Formats: sequence, structure tokens, C-alpha cells
Amino acid sequence: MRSIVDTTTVQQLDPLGTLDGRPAGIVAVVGSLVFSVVVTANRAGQIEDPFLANAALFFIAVSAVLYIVTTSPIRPPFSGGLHALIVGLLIIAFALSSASIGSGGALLTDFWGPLVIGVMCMALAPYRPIAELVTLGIVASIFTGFIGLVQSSVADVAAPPMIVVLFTMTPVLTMSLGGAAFARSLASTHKRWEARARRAARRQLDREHDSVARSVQQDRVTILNRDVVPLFTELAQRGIVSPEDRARAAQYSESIRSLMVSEVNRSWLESVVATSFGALDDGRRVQDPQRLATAMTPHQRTALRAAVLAVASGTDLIADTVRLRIEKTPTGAAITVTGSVGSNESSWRSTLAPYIAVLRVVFTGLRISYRSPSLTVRFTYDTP
Amino acid sequence: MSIGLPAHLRKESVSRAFARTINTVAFVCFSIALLGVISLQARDIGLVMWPAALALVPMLVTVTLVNRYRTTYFTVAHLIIGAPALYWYTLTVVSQLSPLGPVGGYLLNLPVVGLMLVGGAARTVPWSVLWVTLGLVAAQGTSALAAWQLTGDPHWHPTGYIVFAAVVVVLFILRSSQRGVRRVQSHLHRAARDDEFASLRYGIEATSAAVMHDTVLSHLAAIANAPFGAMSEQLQREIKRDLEVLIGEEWLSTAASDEVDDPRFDWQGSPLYTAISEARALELGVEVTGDLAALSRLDARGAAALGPAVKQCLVNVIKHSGVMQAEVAVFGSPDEVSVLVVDGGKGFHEAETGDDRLGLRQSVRRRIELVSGTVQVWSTPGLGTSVMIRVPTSENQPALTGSVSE
Repeated sequence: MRSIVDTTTVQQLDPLGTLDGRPAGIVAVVGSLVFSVVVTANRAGQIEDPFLANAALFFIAVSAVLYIVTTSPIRPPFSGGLHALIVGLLIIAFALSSASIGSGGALLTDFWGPLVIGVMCMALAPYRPIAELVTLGIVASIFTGFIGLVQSSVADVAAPPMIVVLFTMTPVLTMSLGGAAFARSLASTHKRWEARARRAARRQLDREHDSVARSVQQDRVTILNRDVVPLFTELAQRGIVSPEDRARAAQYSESIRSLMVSEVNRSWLESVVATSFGALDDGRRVQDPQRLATAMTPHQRTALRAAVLAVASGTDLIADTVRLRIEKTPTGAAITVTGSVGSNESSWRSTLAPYIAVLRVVFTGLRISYRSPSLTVRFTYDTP
Repeated sequence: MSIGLPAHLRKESVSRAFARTINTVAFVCFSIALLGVISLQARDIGLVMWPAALALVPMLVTVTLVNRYRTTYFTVAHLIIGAPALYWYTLTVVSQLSPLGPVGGYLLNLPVVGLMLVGGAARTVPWSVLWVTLGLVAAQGTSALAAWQLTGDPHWHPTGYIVFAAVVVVLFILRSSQRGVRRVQSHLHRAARDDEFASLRYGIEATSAAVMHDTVLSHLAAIANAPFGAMSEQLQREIKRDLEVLIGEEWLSTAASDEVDDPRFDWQGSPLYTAISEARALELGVEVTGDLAALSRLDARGAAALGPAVKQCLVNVIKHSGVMQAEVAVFGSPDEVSVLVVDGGKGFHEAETGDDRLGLRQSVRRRIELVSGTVQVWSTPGLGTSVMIRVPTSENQPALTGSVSE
């Protein structure tokens, strides 16, 4: 279980909690950008090279935009490459900002650069594994310390080099390690809860087993009591087969077979769609000729089940138009959900965003295309 | 299993995570301060900075304890021990670095911020704010007292107030951000619960369908094809047994039970032996080869699924192959038990079999998949058919609830 905590992200464990906390991250990142602009404007007199100062602000703005766009629930998962890119852009911004001051810097002149990097490291904590957060935080601290050292040697800052290095490293190191501790704590809580919930669910299912078995048996007996049991009882007593018995046996066999064939052919997804859409279901919403719905994991089934119910019970998509198609791909299967949107764009986006956030985490390659009024959501998963 | 934490746990888990975050920040602040004073001491042996380094050690210890044991006792202990330690630290730094300058200010800020960031025993936002406020008062108060004693200037640290304000703002943002998706989270939990229940029902229905296929359907077909007149004794016996099986509930509980296997393996008592005996009673010649003892490694569910599945394969040989001879070979490995059913009959193209052919799908494939096993069929027209059934051993059998449902 330890490896799960080490390699998974908080976003994967708790996509809705991460989505909930995203506005706070955006406020922090945009706040950092505004803060940088204000500080740069305030110390305009100390800046020797305005171009470099503006370039630094440009890099900070790019990293803020990247953060907002790439952490969106409708985008692909936040990758390690993006993590390094965003933090790298901010380190470059700090280097440019330091260079723009030239020889006029002091120990406190450039304190905002590492602060912006630290805030970003903390804002990105839910999106990447803990080991990566710690590693990148330490690497970023070393880079910022080095930049501070170079700047202090150019500007002849009146402080020992070690203190300069520690001073520039402090915001990055404290906030990146703090962010990693936040992610680690949430991941461990989730792991403990999941283990407890799994045991409780197992016990509950064990308790329910007998009643479900009785209900299934009752369904079967109800079907059989009508025709088969009387025939078998008569034959068991009589011990003689008549032409009429043969015809009855053939007829019952055929009707039971066709019932069982239709049961076998009905996937869990078709059952969920039929139940969710109720009277509106036409039986043709799910196209899964190769029976690929079977290969989904319990998490994937849960996420898709919740999303289907939300779409069926909501008004954002016109129920009649919703269709699900599952096709084989070279590596697994792809689900395409299509439907016509019956509400304005902000409404369906805000309603469906939490479900899409969850689908994005449990499935792979989620893509959304919207051309009013048609909405298409496509995602993939592995099959054995 | 559901995805994400339920709403009632989220509040406390976020508070705990936040406490761990600020404890970590505090630990890093104390550590950097320690490195700073040691570096100054190393750089200038005329300075007496080592008492400041010593003063940081108890704070490092208590913040570690607070992080580990989130109790009021350790939180108060951290403040009670940390405040005089910070007083001592400030006395040393202010006395040795005169004038204080940005270096001294920076070195004083670090433990002030560190002592203020006491995550402590807080379970709710108001408690978190209270502990951080107490930390702020203790840190700023003792540090200012020490500085005032030496220089007559309390040297207030604005950084401490800025960090305090930032912490309070973040706490309230975290609190307000836990409300948005509660409804969706409850839908997810309900979906997870429904999925678990559907998996359970599916498993029982599949068992029921397989039993129905092997009993009722099979015997209805036998009656439909029986000659007029007296029924064979065997068919009569089987019909009577059908009635008992269908009315009773034992078949469901037997198939679902997970009893501990009998270490003394009894081949003649195994479901596979029963299946082969029944096929032989239908006048099929069955040759059994291989490692029969490997069957002992199956759990009750695996063995209960394997027997009827092999029986259906043998029935298919009788019905479709055109020969009355088959071989059943058993292979064992620590992970799984494999059974190969081979006939030299007319074979078939699997793609050409009708959608309504239930035997292989329902009674073999679906039944084996329910116990996480696999079924492979190789058949060539004119050259016969081989069916390989693989069932995981009891050590490798995943939990029932995690099984794939259809």
C-alpha cells in the first residue's frame, strides 16, 4: 500500500477535493503575479535593465496561465513535464529579475522571486506524487540559492554567501516541503479510510449475500413455477413421455434460453443506463458490440455510473440525444458519449465539471469537444 | 470502492493536512536558522553564536513531537519550551550581530515564524487560528522582550504578522472550499455502493444461470428429444434432482461459500471427478491425465466453478463433436490450476457459432470468469477442439467484491 501513496497524487485519490481546492490555488498564483507586477513597479528606480524585468514578469504570467489551463478538470492529467516546465519558467523569471537589478541589489531587493516559486510549488502539490514534489522543491531551492549567490556577488550584497543562499532558498524550500506534507497527509488519510471502508463494505456484502441469493432464487422459481416445475412434477410421477410433453419441453426450453440469452447480452452499463433514464430509455443508447464494458475496473464503473445518473437526472443534456458507444482500440477500449446540450455553456460546464474531473482521473485520454449544441466526451481504458 | 473522501471526513482530514503543512514549514524554518547560525559561527570564530544553535534544538524536537502526536499536551509543551528557547536565541543573535541589519533580521524571523506555525491539536479552523495566534503571541512577545532588554528596541518582526495573516486567509479559504462538491461526492459514494451491490447480485445471478443451464435447460432438451413412452431411469432421477435443486437454496450458498479447503485432498469427492463421472454416465469415454493433486490448491469457489464448466465442455463433445472420446488433462502451478479438455471431433469456427449458443458462454466462460479464471478455445474444423480452463489457486484469488461485473 505504501507504493500507492508514493506514486499516486492527491488528485487521483480525491479528484473532487482537488477540484474544490483549485480556486484557492488560482487565487494564490494570480495573487503572486499581481504581487510581482506591483513589486517590480515599485522598485522601477533600482532596475538597470527594464527589458529583463518585463521578461521576468512575462514568464511569471505564462506560468500562471499554464497553471490555470492545465489544472482544469476538462484537460488531460497534469504531467511531471508540465510541473518541471512551470517551476522552471519561474526559476528563469527569478534569474531574469535578478539580472535586471544588476549591481544595485541588496539582500531584500529580490525576495519576491523565491516567494512566487514557493507559492507555485504549494499550489501544485495536489497534482503530482509526493516524491516528485519533494525532489523538484529541493532542486528549485538549489537553483534559487545559486541565483541569489550570483546576484549577491554581482551586487556586492553585505551578507555572507551562505546566508544569501539560505535566504533565497527559504520560501521555496519551506513552501514546497509544506505542500508535499499537505499532499502526504491527505494521501495517508485516504489510504486509511479506503482500507476501513473496504472491510466495512465486505462485511456489509457478506450480510446481504443471503437475502440477495434468496431474491435471485425467488425470481428463478417464479419463472419456473409457471411451466417447468409442473411439467417436471408430472413427468417424475408419470415416468412416461408423451408427444405433448416433448412439445412443451421444447417450447419452455426455447423461451428460457431466449430469456437467458438476453440477460447474458445485457451489460452492467446497459442496466445502469436503463435504470437511470427510466421511461426515457429506448434500449439503444449503449452500443457495445464487443462487450467491452465488462473490462472496466470498479473505480471506472463507479465514476461512469455516477456520471450517467447525473446526466439522466439533470437538464443540461437533452435526455433523448444521449448515446454511449464503446469501441476497441489497439490498446484497450474507447468510450464516446454524445448528446445535445439544452442549457447555456457555463451551466453545463459547472454541472458536469466534477463528474468530468472524476472520469479524467479514473480513465485515460479524456477529450471533450463542444460544437453547440453537440457535446462529445471521449475517454479510453485498458482491457485485458 | 468509492473515489475520494466522504464529506464528513474531509473537514478533519484537511485540518490535519494543514497542521502537518505548517509543522513542516516550522521545522524547515528552525533547520535553516540552525544552518544560518552555524555558518556564521564557522565563518567568524570570534562570534558566540553556538548558544543560538543550541536554543534551536529543543524547538526542533518539540515541533517534531507536535507533528507526530497532535495533542493539546504536546502543542502546549511546544509553546512553553519554545518561548524561552526563542528568548535565548534572540538574546544571542541580537548581542552578537550589532547592528542587526538584514542578516540579523532574517535570522530572527526564521524561529519567530517557526514558533508561530504550531499546527497542534486543531481539529477545526477556529482552533487552528487560536493555536497560531497563541504561537504568534509567544514568538513575537519573547523575541521582542529579549531584543528590548538588550537594545531598548523590541525589533518587531513584520514578516511574522504577514505570515500569520497569510495562514489565517489560507485556513478560511480551505474551510470555504470544502463545500462545493459535497453533493457530487455523495453521488459517487452511492454509485460505488450500487456497483458493489450489482457485482454481488451479478455473481449470484450468474451462478444461478449456470445451474439453470446445466439442469433445467439440459433436461428440457433431453425430454424434447426423448422417444415416446417410458422415460429412462437416469432422466427420471435427474428431473427429480432438478426439482430438489431448484426449490432448495443450497446451490447458491455452496457456490458462494469460501470455506477453508480440506488439506487432505479427495479426488473422488471433487466436483471435477463428479463432472467426469456424469459425462461417463452419458457414455462418453473420458481419459484423465496430469497432476490431479494440483486441484487441492483451488478454494471452494474455484473448485465449484471448475467441475460444472468441465462437465459442459464434455457435454459439448457429446453434442457437437461427433466423437464419444475426450481427454481431460490437469496441470498445476503455484498460481493457477489449468484443465485442458481435448477431443478429436469435427471442430468448429468459434465465430460461426450462433449468438444463442449458451453452453460455452454461460456455463463455461462466464462461470470461470466469476472466479477470476480464463477460458481459451482452439478449434479447427476436421481436427478437433481443445478448451483450456485456468483457475487461480486460493492464494491468488482476488476478493469477490472486486470482480468484474456484467
